[in-house]
Amino acid sequence: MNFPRLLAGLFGIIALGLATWVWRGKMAGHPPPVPPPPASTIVSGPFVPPAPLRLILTPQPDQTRTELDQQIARYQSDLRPPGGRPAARIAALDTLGWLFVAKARADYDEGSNKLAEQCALEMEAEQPGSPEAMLLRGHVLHQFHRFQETEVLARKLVAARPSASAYGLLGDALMEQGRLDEASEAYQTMLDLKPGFESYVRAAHFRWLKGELAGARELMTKALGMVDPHDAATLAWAEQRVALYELQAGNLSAAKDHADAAIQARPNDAAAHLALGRILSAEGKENESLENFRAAATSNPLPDYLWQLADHLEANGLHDEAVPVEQTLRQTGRRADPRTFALYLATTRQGTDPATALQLAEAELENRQDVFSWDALAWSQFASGQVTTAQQTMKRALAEGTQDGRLFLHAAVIASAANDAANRPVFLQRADTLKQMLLPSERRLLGELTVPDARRTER
Amino acid sequence: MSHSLSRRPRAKQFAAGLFLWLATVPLVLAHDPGLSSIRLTTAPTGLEAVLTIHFYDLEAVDPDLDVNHDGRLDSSEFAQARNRLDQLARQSVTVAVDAEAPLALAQNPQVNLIENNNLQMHLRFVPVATGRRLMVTSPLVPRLPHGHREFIELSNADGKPMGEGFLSASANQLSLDLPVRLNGATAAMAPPSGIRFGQFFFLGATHLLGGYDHLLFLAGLLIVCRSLLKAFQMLTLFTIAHSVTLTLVTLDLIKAPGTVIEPAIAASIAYIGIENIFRPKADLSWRGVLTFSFGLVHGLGFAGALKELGVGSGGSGVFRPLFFFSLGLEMTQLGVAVMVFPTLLWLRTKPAFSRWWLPACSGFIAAAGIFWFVQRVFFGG
Repeated sequence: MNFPRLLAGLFGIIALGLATWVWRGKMAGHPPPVPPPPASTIVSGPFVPPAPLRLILTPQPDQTRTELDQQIARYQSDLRPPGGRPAARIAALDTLGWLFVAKARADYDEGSNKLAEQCALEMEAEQPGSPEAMLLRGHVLHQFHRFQETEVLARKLVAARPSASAYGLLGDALMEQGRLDEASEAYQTMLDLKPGFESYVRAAHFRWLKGELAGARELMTKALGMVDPHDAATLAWAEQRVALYELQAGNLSAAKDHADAAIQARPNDAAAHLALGRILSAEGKENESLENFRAAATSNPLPDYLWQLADHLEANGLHDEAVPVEQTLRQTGRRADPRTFALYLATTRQGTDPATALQLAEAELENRQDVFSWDALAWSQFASGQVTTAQQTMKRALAEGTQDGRLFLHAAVIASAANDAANRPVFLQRADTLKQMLLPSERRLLGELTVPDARRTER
Repeated sequence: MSHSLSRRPRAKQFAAGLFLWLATVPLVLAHDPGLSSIRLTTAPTGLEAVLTIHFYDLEAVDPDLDVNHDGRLDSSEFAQARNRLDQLARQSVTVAVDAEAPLALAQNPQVNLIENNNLQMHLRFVPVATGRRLMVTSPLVPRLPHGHREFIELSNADGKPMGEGFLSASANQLSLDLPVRLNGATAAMAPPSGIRFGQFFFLGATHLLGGYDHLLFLAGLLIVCRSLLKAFQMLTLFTIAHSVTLTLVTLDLIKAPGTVIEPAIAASIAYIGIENIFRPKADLSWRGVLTFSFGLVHGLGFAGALKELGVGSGGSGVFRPLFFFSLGLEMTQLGVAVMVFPTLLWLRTKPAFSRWWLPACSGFIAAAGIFWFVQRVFFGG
C-alpha cells in the first residue's frame, strides 16, 4: 500500500473541502447559528407561521378515506423528499393544489381550499411568477371572497398567459364586483378562445344576471350536454343549475326531472337537495320538501341552507326543530356568509337585528358590489327605517335587469313604504310571477301586500 | 436527485380539467375559514403550548372582540376582552399522556396580542417524567369557522421536531408519539409522520438512482475492474465506508456541511476519472484504500437526504429509517452493478475498448466531476 500517495489524495480532498467551506462562507455571509431559546422560558415575539410546504405535506385529519384522499396522499408522498427537478415539483404542487380544491368541494370543507392556497404560495416561492400558481391562488382567493385581490392576480395572469382560464378568473372577479361590462369582455374573450363547458356556464350566469332567462337556459343546457357522465360532481352541479332555471321559468316538471338527475348523480349534493326542496315547495309539497332541505343543510351548513331549512320548518309548524337551526345560523352566519346573514337579520318577519344587518351589508358592499349586495344593503336600510335611502339603493340592485323574485319582493315592500304608487304594482306583479323562487315567509309577505291591491281592484 | 413527479397524467387532468370551472358557482362560495397553530414543546419545567390564532377566527366564539367593527383588534379592545380571552385560553387545548387524565396547568395562561392582529395564548402544563403517547385535544376548533384547520407541532427542548398533524372540527384530537423521556433534552424524534419504513427503502433506492454523481462514481470504479471478484471487493469497501459515515451523521455524532461534502464528492469523481486515464492498472490495495476513503465522503452525502427529512438526533426512531434507507441504497447499488458489470467484462475482451473507449469514458467521468465541482463551489448547484 502506498501510504504517501493515499495521504496526498486525502489531503487534497480535505484541502479542497476546507477551501470550499471558507469560500462559500465568505460569499454567502452565513449568519452565526441562532441558539434555540431556553426551553424553560415562554417564547413570545414575532409569530413565524409554519412554512407552506410543511402544511401541505402534513397528513390531513380523516385522510385516506376516499380515492381523492389517496391521490392527495400519493402526491404528498412524492413531494416529501427534498430536491427533484423544479418543473416536476411545480407540476406536482399544482396537481396537489387542485386536488385540495376538489376535496374542498367534495367535503364542503373550506379548510382544503386553505391548503390549496399554501400549494400556490409554495409554487410561487419555488418559481416566482408561475402562471399556474397565479391561477390556483386566484381561484382560492375568489372562493374566499377576496375579489379585489383576485382581480389583481387575474390581470397579472392574463398578461403572463392569456388563456381561457385566466380570462374566466378575471371575469369572475369583475362579476362579483358588479363590473358587468368589463366582465362581459373577459367572458367573451374566454368564449372566443375556448368555447366549452367552463365558458358556457359563465355565459349562462351572465345572461341570467342580465335578465335573459331563456338565453341562460339555452347555454346551461348546452353546457350540461358537455359534462362527462362519470363526473358526478360536475353533472350534479350542472343539473341543479338547469333545474333552478326551469323553476324560475315555471316549468316545475322539467325542473324536478333535472333536480332528480342531480341527486341521482351525487346523492349527497347539497345544492341539488336544496333545488329539489325548492321545487317541491313550489309544487305545494311542503312536507315532502323538508327531507331535501334537511339533507342540504346537513351536507353544507351555510347560512343560505340553514335559513331555507328553518323557514320551511316554520312553514310546516315545526317550530321546535327550527329553533336550533336558527341558533346555528346566528352563531355561524356572520362569518360564513355575511350577506345572506344580513338579509336574514333584516327580514321584517324575523325583525331581529336591523343594526347588525346594516353594518354587515355595508361591510359586504365594500368588497362585493354586485346586485345582491345592493339588495342586501337596501333591505337592511329599510329594516333600519331608512326608507328613502333604501329606495335609492334598490334602484342599484335592479339596474342590471336581474329577474329575481326576492329582489322584486324587496323592491315592492320598499315602494309600498315609500308610497311609490307607480312602481309598487310593477314590482309586485314581477315578484308574483317569480314567487316559486321565494321562501314560504316571503310568499306570505307577498300575499299580504297583494291582498290590498286585489281588494282595491274588486271595488 | 430526480423524482417521477410528472407521472400520473390522468390525475393531473382530473384535477385541473374538472375543477377549474368551480369559480363560477355562486352557491359554493364561502369565507376564509382560517388557519391556527399550536406549538408544543417538552421541557424540564413542563409541557409548553403556544396557540397562535387570528382574532377574526376567534370572533366565531366571541363575536364582541372587535367592538368598533373596524376589522382590527386594537389594544383597548384587547384589554376589554382580556378576562374572556384568558378563559378561552384555558379551554383552547388539553393534553393527556398515555390515556391518563388531562394534564393540569402549571400556571395561569398568558394571552398576548401580537403582530397582524394575531393572538398568542401561552399555556404551561405540569411536567411529566415518562410517557409514550401524547393526546392533544382542541375543544376550541369545533367552535371556530367551518373548515378551520389547526396545525399542531411537537418538539423537544432542543427544538427538534417530534411530530405534527392537523386538527379540524370533525377530528379535533391528535395522537403524537413521544420520546421515552418527556422532560429531557436528549429526547429522540419519531420518524416524521406519514413516512413509512417502506418509503425509506424507496427513498434510499431513488436517492442512488436519481443521484447521477453516485452512479458515475460507481461506473468509474467498475470500469477498470478486470474480474467479478475485484468488482465485488470494491463495492463491499465502498458500501462499508459509506455506511459508517451515514450512520455517524444520522446519529449526530459528526457534522457534515453540504457546502463541503457536495464539492468533495464531485472532486472524488473527477479524481477517479483522471486516475482511470493515467493509471488504469493501479494496484488493488491502493484502489481499495481510495474506494474506502471516497466511500466515507459519499456516505456523508447520502446522510444529507435523511437529515433533510428530519431523521436523526437521539436514539430510538432513528435506526429503522436508517436501516431501510441503507438497504434501499445497497440493493439498488448491487442491482446496478449486476446489470452493468457483465457488459463491462465482455467489453474488456475487445482490445479497442481498453485502448480507446476506457480512457474516453473515464474522460467523460472526470469532466462530469470537474463540472459538478465548479458548479457546486461557485454556483451553489
